[in-house]
Amino acid sequence: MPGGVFVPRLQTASALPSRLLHGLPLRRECDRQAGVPSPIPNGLHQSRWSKRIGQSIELVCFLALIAVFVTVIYGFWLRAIWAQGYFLAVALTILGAFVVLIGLAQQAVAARDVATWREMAEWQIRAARARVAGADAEDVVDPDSAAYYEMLIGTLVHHADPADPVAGPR
Amino acid sequence: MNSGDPHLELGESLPRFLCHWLAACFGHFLMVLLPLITDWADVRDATWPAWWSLLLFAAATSLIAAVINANLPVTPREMIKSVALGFALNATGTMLRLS
Repeated sequence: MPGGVFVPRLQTASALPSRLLHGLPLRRECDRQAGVPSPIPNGLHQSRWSKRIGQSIELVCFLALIAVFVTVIYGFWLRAIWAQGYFLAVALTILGAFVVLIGLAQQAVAARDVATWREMAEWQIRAARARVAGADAEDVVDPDSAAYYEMLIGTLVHHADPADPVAGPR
Repeated sequence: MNSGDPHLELGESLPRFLCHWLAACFGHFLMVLLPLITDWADVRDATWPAWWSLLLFAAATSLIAAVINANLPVTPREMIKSVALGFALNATGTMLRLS
């Protein structure tokens, strides 16, 4: 590739551990060398509060949630002392609390995997956009036209092809 | 281009629906059981509904809360909102003497 632009190919990228992809300084350095633009902030995922405040709110809410679970199970237990049938309600509430806690953990784990793959795909698209912009510096293609997206897909497919020797370093 | 964490984006899904439904059920139970915990001596002889009718009523009213909150992510911060909505729905039912 002219200019020595480094773009990891799909095969290479899939072998990268997620730790590497989430290592922000390394990724920024790769992006800077490759001339890949940073993701455009769309304002949807940005909070005015700092991350630390958000984490402490999550922690307080989690403790409150646990307190609710414990209070409900304790209340049903008190009731179960007087009415035998309520022991089944106690069992069902304990089961429900476990389901909610497992659901919280499972959603977090699944979302982390999705985020890793999505970030890789978005990186590839941003790299292809940078290549299209670099290849057509003199005749500018309208980014909203069908021709632009045709070139974009062409660039993506071109650099995903393992048989192509000029696609970039392995 | 979307660059966010899919965990934190809005959108309905069955796991989200189920988690918020369960959280709303817990809010409903909290409204039922708090008087029992605070005024144990006075309430213990009060007439109580059968356990299954209590659970069925909670499940039914919490469906409203779950439908409303099904697009919220499953994080403690959003689950607390479901608990509060379940609590509020039961309080509404109590005030209207539906139960």
